[in-house]
Amino acid sequence: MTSTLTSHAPAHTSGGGALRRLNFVTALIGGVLFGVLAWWLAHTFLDAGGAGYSDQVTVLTGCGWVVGFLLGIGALTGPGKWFTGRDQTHADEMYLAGKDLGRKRYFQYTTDHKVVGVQYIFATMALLGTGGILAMGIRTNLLTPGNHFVNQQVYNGFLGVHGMLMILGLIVAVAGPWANFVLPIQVGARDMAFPRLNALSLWTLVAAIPLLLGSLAIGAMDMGWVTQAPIANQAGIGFDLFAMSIITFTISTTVAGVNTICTVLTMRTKGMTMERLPIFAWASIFAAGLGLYAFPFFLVVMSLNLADRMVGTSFFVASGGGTGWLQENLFWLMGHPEVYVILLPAVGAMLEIASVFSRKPLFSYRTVIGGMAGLCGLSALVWAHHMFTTGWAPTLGGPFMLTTELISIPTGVIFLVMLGTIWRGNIWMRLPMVWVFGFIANFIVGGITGIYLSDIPVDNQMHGTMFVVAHFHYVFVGSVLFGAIAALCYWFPKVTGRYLDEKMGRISFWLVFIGTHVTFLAMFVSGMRGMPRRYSSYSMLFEHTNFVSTIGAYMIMAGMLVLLGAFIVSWRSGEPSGPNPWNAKSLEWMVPTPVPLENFEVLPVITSDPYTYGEA
Amino acid sequence: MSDLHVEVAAHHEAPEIVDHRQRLGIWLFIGGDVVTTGALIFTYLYLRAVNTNGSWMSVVGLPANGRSASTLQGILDDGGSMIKNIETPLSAGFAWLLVAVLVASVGLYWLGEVRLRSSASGRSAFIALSVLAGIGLIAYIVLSIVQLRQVPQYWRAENDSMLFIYSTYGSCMLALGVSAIIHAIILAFLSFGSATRAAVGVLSHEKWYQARLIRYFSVWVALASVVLTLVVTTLNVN
Amino acid sequence: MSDNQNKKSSLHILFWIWVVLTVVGILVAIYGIPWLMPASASNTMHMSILTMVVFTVAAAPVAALVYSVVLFALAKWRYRGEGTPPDGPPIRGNNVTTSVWLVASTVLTVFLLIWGLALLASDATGEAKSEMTVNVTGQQWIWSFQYPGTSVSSHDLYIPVNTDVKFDVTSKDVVHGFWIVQMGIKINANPDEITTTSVTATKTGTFDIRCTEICGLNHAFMVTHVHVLTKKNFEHWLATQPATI
Repeated sequence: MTSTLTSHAPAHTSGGGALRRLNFVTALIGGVLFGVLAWWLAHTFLDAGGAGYSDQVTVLTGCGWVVGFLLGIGALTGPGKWFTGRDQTHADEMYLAGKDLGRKRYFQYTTDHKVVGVQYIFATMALLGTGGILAMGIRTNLLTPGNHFVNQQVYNGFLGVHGMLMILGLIVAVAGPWANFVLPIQVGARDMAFPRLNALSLWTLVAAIPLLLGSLAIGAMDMGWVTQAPIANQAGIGFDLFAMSIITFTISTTVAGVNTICTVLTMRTKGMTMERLPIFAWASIFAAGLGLYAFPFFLVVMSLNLADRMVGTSFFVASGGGTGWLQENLFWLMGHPEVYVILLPAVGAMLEIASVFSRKPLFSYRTVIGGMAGLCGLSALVWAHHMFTTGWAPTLGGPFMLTTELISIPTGVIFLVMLGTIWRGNIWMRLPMVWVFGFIANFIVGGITGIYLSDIPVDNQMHGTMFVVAHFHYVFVGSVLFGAIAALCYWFPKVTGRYLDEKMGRISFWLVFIGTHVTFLAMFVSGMRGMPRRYSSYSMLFEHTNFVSTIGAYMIMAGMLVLLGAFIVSWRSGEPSGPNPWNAKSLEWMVPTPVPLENFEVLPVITSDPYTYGEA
Repeated sequence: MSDLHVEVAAHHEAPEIVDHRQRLGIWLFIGGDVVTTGALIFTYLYLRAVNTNGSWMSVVGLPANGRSASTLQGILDDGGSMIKNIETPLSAGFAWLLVAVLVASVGLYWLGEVRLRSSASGRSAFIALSVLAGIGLIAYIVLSIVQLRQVPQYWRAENDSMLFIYSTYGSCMLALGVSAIIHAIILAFLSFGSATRAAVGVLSHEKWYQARLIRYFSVWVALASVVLTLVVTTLNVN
Repeated sequence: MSDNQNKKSSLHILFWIWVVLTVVGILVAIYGIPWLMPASASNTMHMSILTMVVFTVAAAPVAALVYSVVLFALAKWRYRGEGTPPDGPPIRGNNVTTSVWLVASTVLTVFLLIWGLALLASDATGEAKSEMTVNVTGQQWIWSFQYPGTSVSSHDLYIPVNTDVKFDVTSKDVVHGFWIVQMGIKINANPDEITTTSVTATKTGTFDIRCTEICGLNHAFMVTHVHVLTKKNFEHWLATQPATI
């Protein structure tokens, strides 16, 4: 150990090795080069007469892109160095952490958790932004009946890719930026448990995004985001990239999830017992753990689907002995836990905000942890409620209705704790808290309409209609997106040292809030009156409600653009905030802004939880 | 200089703490892998149980194992017809041979770890044993490919194109085989990597616990192969 | 003392907000939902609408509670001064509130469960007494109906009123969703599988069938009608159809 120090420490500016020459640009070049190379090899050596030929070529090209991209960013130098026994020196680690690299470090394989957090902010914006543009395409096409904007083929592609972009975007919307930027500081750590895996998870996610967008470009996908077989087997080669993107994404989230859990469980500073953890840390490890359970199913279902298309296996092909119900089971085994993977970090962040901006301790800390644990446990047992009308195992309807309705009890706990925290507080209506109030108002609608759908006779009527779409958009837009924006407004000063512009933020809030209700209340009505989902056109019966939904959707987009404007303006020239603008008590507000490399000069010792308002 | 000193001190965590963290990380990765393998077993058992159209082990087509595409096309052109083929399960003996090779490789690696832990002079034994384990794993990969080529494969004309198809049993064996090969490639990488690391002295007697991390993963892979083989050799015929 | 009284009277206001919102919720449930839903043409649909009304009535006090606390907090507890507000009361929980909340939500959930299971059980007993069967086949992007025991097949569905009809549903290509909108029944049409559902139409007329699983380009246009006829008219219709095998 000593010898390592003396021989390498003085040369600390020269660490990094090959990584000094690798960055986002070389990653793009590597991805394209390897993609083209794989495409050429596949073209040259595969049997062009086989039925799965075009799918094999597409998948191999996708693999080439991912490998080339990771090679180009430097993700594979670590394993290479490990294999040859040339471990990272201290100087290398400092280089990797982005020491003295300035702005360059945001475009490199940087391990500093704060850099990764910022990179995640932009990755999330890319995912949600493109997803939002596709949503505008969908709503514009539905402004009037008759497919006047795009044709059915393009429309169906929009549907599937919009769904998947938004799902991936919301999975990382809170957990990506804030479980990376804030969480290690909150628990009193100098970085994440595995900094290099942290960079790996980010750059694998970045590698997955072009695949998803590429799938739309080469198109012909009619399968929606649930990739139901056999319609997915009919889809064009776009589906191959779509599935490749998801497979890459599952690797990214698995790595990120392991990292989050290890950070909270093993990196806490002295005195930071599990009972003193900020609630956001609890929510993050619940979500990460649930993701570790859920996403392998995603990986398997997409791989099997690709195998069916590429090499002629018959997993989901009924004529070959497989069954589409297997696909549906595997998909929803992932699909329902995933909802809580998305929801929990947002709820955790908003509970932090509720406490800080009510100037009160979190109400019933243990109850909400129990509630989150209950949500995780039950969410693994409810998947078949997505399949009540598929004809699969009708006898299991009762049990799955039971587990689904039970989940409303832990969901109710979240409301109890939220309202209990606000109760009799001195409520400071700054921007983050405004979005939290919006969340409360929206989530109750999303929650209650979910109870209707858990009831099988009602589901027999409502399944597959716009009612379901409106329900889960109240959860995803009305609740999770509001939570993600609240978290952004709350922690923005810690990242940039500036407030997010309060005035523009409020304009954005009212546009998005009113837009959400206009869009999705009208959509409930479309569904109740009998409009199925995923319709590219509709009868005159649904004309008015669809028109209203589209206008509402434009309001949401306008609001999000205002928010984007506020983000850019405030990042460059917002009002300076100082290190602790909200006078909060959790550790991330105790360190200077900008947060120095390794966060703490001296690791703090914790004597209480961060909710001591009115006590000390 | 004092500034630099603070940074170095910050990085200096006790090896036990780092090891504890890495062990937790490995266990979590194994947890994710358990779910992946579980999903594959679920797929296997589900398809066997539903046996849609009695196609668990039968397919209409030309048997294609060991025949080239042009040969098959020739058979079709000469008036050969596609028939319903009834399959038999893959050789259980060969499957257990594969398990034996894998378990032996993992055992060798474990033995190496024990030697490395017991004394400073155990390092050379560790190098030799991990290289042997790696060779065993390569043998396992080769044998797995041999086994995959036994999976009954058929040739069928559909629309204008020709395609290889598999029964659902064959499909499952293919998926499990590919999964096993991916795992074995990772293990072989880790085994040979351990050997080179020990050879250049990075992995030493004092740091034997780094080998333990790899052993955890290998033992899980070996265990999974035993369970999977138990399933596919007993619950195969419908 | 006066502060305490002030607090009491303000909680009084909270209570009345809650009552008003609950009443509004119940009125919306009772009058709004049946108005928005299609007029039911079967008992199944009638029960679905009733369930939505009952669930909304049960949920109204909960939602009203959340909204009234939010509105009350915004009006009464909002800090109007400059800068960071002073700390609020250090309430770290209240066992009575938590218990009441948990018990109330459990009671509500159990009620929903019993309601749902009872409805499910009554549905299941209905299935046994089906009086006729129709084979339903979905394909991109058209529905076909075949009447067993006859060689009649049609693209519009014809069924007799007040007769329990069982549908054996399958697909020729991808998954479709067979939904009779005004009768509240829906089942997927899967290739190489037969799924069943059944319904008793309670009034004559023409109703809508729509596909509810995305099935390709013309998913939105995979619509047809069901004509519910009197038994006599149905027999007549069946007898006068040309054989289409």
